[in-house]
Amino acid sequence: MTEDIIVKTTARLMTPFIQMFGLYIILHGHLTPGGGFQGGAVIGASMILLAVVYGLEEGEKRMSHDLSTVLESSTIVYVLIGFIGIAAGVNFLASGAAGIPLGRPGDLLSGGMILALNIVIGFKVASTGKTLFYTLAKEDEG
Amino acid sequence: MILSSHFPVLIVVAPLFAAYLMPLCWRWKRGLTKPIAVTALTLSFLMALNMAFQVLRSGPISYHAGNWQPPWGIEIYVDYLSVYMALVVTGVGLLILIYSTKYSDKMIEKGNIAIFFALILLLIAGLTGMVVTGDLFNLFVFLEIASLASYALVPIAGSKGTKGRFEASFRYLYMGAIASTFTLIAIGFAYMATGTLNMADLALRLVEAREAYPTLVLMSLGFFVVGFSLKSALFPLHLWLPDAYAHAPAPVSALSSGLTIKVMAYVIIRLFYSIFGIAFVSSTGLLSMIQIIAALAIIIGSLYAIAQKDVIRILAYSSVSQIGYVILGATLLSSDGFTGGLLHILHHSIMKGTMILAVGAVMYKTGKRNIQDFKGMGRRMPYTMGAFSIAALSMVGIPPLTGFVSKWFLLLGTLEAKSYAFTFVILASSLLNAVYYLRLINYIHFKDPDEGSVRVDEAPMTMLIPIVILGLGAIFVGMMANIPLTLISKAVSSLGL
Repeated sequence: MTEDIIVKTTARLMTPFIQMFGLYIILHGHLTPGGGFQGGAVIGASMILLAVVYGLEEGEKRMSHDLSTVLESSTIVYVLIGFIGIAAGVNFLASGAAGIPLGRPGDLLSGGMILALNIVIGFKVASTGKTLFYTLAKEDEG
Repeated sequence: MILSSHFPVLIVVAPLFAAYLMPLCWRWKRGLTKPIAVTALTLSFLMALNMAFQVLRSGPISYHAGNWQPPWGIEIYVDYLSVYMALVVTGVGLLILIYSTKYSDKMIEKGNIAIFFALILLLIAGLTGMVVTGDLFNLFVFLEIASLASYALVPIAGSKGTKGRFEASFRYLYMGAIASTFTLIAIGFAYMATGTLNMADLALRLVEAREAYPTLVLMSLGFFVVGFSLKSALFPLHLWLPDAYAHAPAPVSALSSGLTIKVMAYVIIRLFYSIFGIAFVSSTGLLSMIQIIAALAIIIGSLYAIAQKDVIRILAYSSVSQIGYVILGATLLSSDGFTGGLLHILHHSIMKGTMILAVGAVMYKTGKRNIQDFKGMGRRMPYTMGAFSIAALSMVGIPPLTGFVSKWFLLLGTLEAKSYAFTFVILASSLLNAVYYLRLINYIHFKDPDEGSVRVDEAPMTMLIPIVILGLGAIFVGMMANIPLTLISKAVSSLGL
């Protein structure tokens, strides 16, 4: 990796905003276009940006392989949220019918379980994007 | 029990859940990886059994995911045919998974084992999802889960695999990707014509849409048929299959041959009978075309198999031929033929599962699989090769073995449909099957090995037991054909034949 101060500074300045934007898309998935997948992809891209600019080791330090293994398995949480419906005596993945408050349409806290499901998907997609990049990059290094 | 009403969704959730646990277990509690995988699939199988009784007792089950009413929400619809397929997928899948627990120790690269089990569970979850879903787009999602898992499973052996594994996987990937794209286009066309994705609703609305948008509906049907013919390796779109099997680990080939291509054939049946309506498909002339293609598949698959020297390739081309039976049975428009085709799904899963797993056991022990290397193998691995031979004889169609029963029904079907050319095709194909399977049996049991004397050197118990269970299945499932027939006869009559 070359020592390029402009690239490094720009990447450092931009990363929080990229991640904030990703989080915004995830959290507003039930209100506006976008959702867990799209927001997760944006956050994943910010991690790839850091790895490209600062090198793979530095990126690994920020988010270890163990952590991404855990985050990639976050789909388990999705299934567990699905079980709330069964526990409440209605069907799998039920939300309003399971008695979860739906809120006022348009509010951030509305739409039952959809917000929680979007957050889970966001984590999953972000860590998968990062892992995909690392797998390809490491294969290239040999 | 109140939980049993949720089985239609839990049967898919159990392997899916376990699949995501696999990498975590491998990282922190390595001993738990395999037990969790087997437990999850055992649960799925028990749920399938329970659903079979539920469906037989009180008719098809409709489950609304998230309590959204169909046609808006996703409906899971389990009828006689679905539950039959779910039983085949989870039952045979479970035996193959048990076999894999031992097989993977030696034949799969260590770093890939967790992924190997995760992918097998994802594949089975996808296939189970495809058979129970009542929603066309949901079907596509599960199709992709199952397909992507299969592509990745071909080169999973890593450094312990064959040289051409990536090329084979890549060929499978782009053929499969074309098929998936076709399927998606077809779903798009169907949605354009009707504005719905729920299968039952679609079937109702297609009746009007056929008048209003005849070309659109025809295009949709055409894309569907080509897409799923590719996925089910129906001749002449079978080119990906022999290579993929030759380079994949044995359990993966067994899963693909026994389950994946069968479920794809199931989707064709579902499309013809439950969605587009068999009368409409027949009126387009597509049905007679597919009958001829299936007959060609039966004959040409067998001819290719005769020419092979690699045992796995013999079995792979034989699968190309056997999928022809299933499709031919489903398109004959006779209830006996349809029964035979559906029975053959179960029977072929059992027979081909036995044979591929047995060849896998030989590879586990010797690392060889050329037909010459099977000389005297019957003395070295008597139980494995015994099961192999029973399955091979069953494949030829010798009574009272399993293969005979389905071929008998198919023959009755061709006579009932007055398609005497196909009667001849099935009889000729049995002779061709005899040519290559009896040659294998001859090598295994009646030729002396090159090394002279051999000691008995059986496969490990964990691998032997699934092989023997499947081998016994090849005897008893045929003799007790009335048990699967209770489900199949209801499926056939509920689909309108």
